[in-house]
Amino acid sequence: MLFILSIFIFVGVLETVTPYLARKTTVFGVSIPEPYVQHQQLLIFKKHYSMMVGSIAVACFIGQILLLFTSIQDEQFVLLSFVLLYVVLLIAAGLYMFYHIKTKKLKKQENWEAHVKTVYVMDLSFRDRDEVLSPTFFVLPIIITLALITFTYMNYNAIPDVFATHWNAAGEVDGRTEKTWLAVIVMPLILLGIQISFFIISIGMKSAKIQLSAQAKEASANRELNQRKYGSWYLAAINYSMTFVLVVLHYTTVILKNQTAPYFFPLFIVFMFVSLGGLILLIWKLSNSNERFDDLQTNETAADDDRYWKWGIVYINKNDPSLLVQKKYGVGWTVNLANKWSYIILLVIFLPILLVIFI
Amino acid sequence: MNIHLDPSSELQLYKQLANQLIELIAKGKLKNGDTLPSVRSMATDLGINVSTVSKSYHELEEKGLIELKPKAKAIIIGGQKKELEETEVEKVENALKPILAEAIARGLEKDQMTSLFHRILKQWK
Repeated sequence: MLFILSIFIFVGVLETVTPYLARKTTVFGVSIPEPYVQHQQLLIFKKHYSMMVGSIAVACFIGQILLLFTSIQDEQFVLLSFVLLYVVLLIAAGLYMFYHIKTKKLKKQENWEAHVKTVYVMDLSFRDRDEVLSPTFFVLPIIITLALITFTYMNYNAIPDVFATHWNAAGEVDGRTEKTWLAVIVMPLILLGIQISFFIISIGMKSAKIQLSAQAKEASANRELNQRKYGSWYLAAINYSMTFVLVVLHYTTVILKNQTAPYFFPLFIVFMFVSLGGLILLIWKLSNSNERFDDLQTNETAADDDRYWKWGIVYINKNDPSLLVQKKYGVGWTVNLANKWSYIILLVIFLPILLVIFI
Repeated sequence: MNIHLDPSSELQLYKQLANQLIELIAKGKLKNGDTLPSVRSMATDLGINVSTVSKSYHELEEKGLIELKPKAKAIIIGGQKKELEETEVEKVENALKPILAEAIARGLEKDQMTSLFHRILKQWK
């Protein structure tokens, strides 16, 4: 119960503050020329969005608390809580689109692009200061998984004919699978797929475009450096903790034949803690290093890339050889759909979901 | 080590990029043996066309300031002290003459030009 409520709070807060997490030069997925970053109307848009999403989230949250005092059953409560979560997410997405269109209109109406001078800027020393984790760091988990698969086959005869593959929240087995050559390595294989996509992502992070602003050059460089560094740390933290949990799980059930070890659930909680706590840390680090545009001297602005974005969400740019690009709205990365590797990443991400649905 | 290209300037983008790189070598910020970003990564970061960057790299190569190596690497070879060949001095002289001539034709005094010369040289090493 507490777990569900804390997820709700987490998502609610995140959705509410998202407009303030993005770079100042993008508002609701629209590139804003630097001289207009402090435009009154944009600040109002952001404020209204946050107020609306925030109050809806708070209302839903109070509703859930009130429900707790009625005689509602646990299962119904969990279901309802998830429905409310999706309602908040949907409303936030709808409001995003609403303000995305409004911002775009404002930019066009006031003809901002005609009043500014576009320049192309970069810093040659940036790549030397870049602290993105090297892709080799993401090779180690792959080696561990390959070793685990080899080890599993070396002990194939000792594996029980039926072994556990699914557990409920209490740590009891509620799903079993018959032993076949494929079945015994399904979990390591899924892990391997995720690790390989993480490896590709880490390569993509390293070569991704560096976006500096023309007027707050040093500040935007700092933000970029932080985003790249802590972004890759977060990716590595998830990668290593996930590898640890799944390797322990696989080793205990398949090799040690212990199907309900008491440490499964705590392990899972630790993993959740790393991924959610890491995300909070990442966002906190980034919001501390957002660039400011307090003293604008000229009407210069860095080049605008709106034409490569659909709704400020989907990025398709044939001229950009990189695989990853920083999201225009919110924190994190998205793939360049003009790069064929992006489909492999998307496939690996959605494959487990498809497997769960169809198998 | 900032690069700042202005598309509204009358100077073409590739020329601006080449000039700014040359200036960084003159200032000693780019040293002999330093590597420049690959053409693709430079084009990505700047947000300009790959062919534009490639054109300015080739110009620098022609001038003997960088060496283009396989795997898209560009290494600075200019900037070190060496015995200049007679032809290279001549090249600089030929390039400089029309600029100085234009300055005289525009009415600049020789004194002004010498102080201008010193002022610019002081910015570099």
